[in-house]
Amino acid sequence: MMDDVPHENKGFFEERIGIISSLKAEGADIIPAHATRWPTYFLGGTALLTFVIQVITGILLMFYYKPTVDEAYASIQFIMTEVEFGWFVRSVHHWCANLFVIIMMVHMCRVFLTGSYKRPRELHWVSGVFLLIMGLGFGFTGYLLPWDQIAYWATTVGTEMTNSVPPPAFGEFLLHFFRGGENVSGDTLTRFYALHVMVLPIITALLVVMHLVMVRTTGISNPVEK
Amino acid sequence: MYHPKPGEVGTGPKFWPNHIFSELASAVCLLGLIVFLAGFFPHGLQEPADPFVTPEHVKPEWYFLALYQILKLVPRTFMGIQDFNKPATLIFAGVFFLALMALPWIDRSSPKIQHPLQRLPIVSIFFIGLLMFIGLSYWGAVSK
Amino acid sequence: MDKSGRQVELMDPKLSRKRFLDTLMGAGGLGVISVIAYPLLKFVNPPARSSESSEWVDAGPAEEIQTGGFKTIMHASGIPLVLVRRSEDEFIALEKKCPHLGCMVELEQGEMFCPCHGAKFTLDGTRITGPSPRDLKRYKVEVRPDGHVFVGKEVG
Repeated sequence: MMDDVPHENKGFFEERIGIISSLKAEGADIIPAHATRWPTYFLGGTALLTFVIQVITGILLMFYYKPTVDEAYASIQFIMTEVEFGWFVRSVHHWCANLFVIIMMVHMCRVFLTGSYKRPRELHWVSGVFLLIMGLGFGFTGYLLPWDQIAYWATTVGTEMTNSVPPPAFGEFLLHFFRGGENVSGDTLTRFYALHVMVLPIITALLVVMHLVMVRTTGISNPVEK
Repeated sequence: MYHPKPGEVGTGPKFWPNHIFSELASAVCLLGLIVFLAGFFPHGLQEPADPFVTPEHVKPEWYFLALYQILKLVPRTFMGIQDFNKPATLIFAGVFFLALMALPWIDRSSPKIQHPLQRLPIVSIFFIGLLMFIGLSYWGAVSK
Repeated sequence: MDKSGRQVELMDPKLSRKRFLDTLMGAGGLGVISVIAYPLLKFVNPPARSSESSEWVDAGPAEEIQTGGFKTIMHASGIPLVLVRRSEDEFIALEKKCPHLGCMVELEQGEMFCPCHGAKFTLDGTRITGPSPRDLKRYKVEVRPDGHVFVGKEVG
């Protein structure tokens, strides 16, 4: 019934941008009945929402956070004690980070069980695995930023692991790449900060766009009822 | 392109507004959950980093706990190779993610066979893997 | 027929139930969004740094400044000040920021001169000429028994 709205009645923005019209376009428009019957079909959308929340709360935390050895811990304390709702924004960032990974994992389980990774949706799956790896990368780099004991030592142990990647010269390169030196120091902090707030978000956003475009191209998979 | 099955055109639920609507409903629930978790279980802060003192039981984030436990389980020396455990754990992680990415090519069965009960071999491998991940993560969480 | 048909559609219980649910969801969504938007707006509003609340700043020993001389110091609030020694016991602390558009005034030939638009002030901060709407702000000064000059809060 919405499709019957005459062209001139679309409204100013819809006539020019046409997002809703493109969403209503033929072909990819119809979704399988499963998608409304099985509540697991909106996990992709909720994963996207957690990423958006992470971007918003992450930018807010960057307003006060200072990625230096002398100031990182104190700036987090400042956020937690002085900034209004600072504890809340940081806690949302923390919980939403965990939900981001959990929802992606459950989403992948659903896609696996319904066989939705099969032709022609192989690249949807591959980009999804890359998104999961991005989520893990966010967790690994974000863990260091508060510069507290667990942050420092978990990063020490985690980056120490990269040293053992064969061949030895490559392992050493990786160790120095992540640590910015021999040990976890202020140079590690700035590197992890750059990865966490610039590199990973940009790659993740590009992967998300690819993922969504591909889902629109092929439509949501329609498992045959047994 | 997506090929609707016969009789489906014009009758199935629509991406807009049906699917978007259910996405919105789940979004509201998710926001509520996040506000609840952040409000009632705020995230704390430990002692400031001290490069001279390592605390006991340094644990990573929960999603790395399985890998952390595998690192502990792999013997340090294996068939005469010194420091075997660390590269072995990393290679395992690498192979795991490569295999995960390659899943659509590992499972070349017809795209029409989608129901999990029609794909019992691969579904059971998946469940064994999932249970191992959960078990190792739990073991990693409680191990000293 | 047309009329009665439309009436049936309006009173269709499925439709009104959908509309009710739509409204309920919209209201719920708005509620959740405002619950989240309020703390975020509060968050971006910067709280006072604890250093700003400390009243007095040590400007160093009084003998460092000769009579007629001056020294620039940073106030606890992060605003640069000029500390002028007008006589043996008279110190004046003026904000270095021109009230017109915030440029840094300089002490030139016994006057405070703003390089941006030529505003001039006397050494006690009184406006002489130029576009400034106000006098320069003055800050409390005291010389402590240990011989150090301390600069405190804004006068007035």
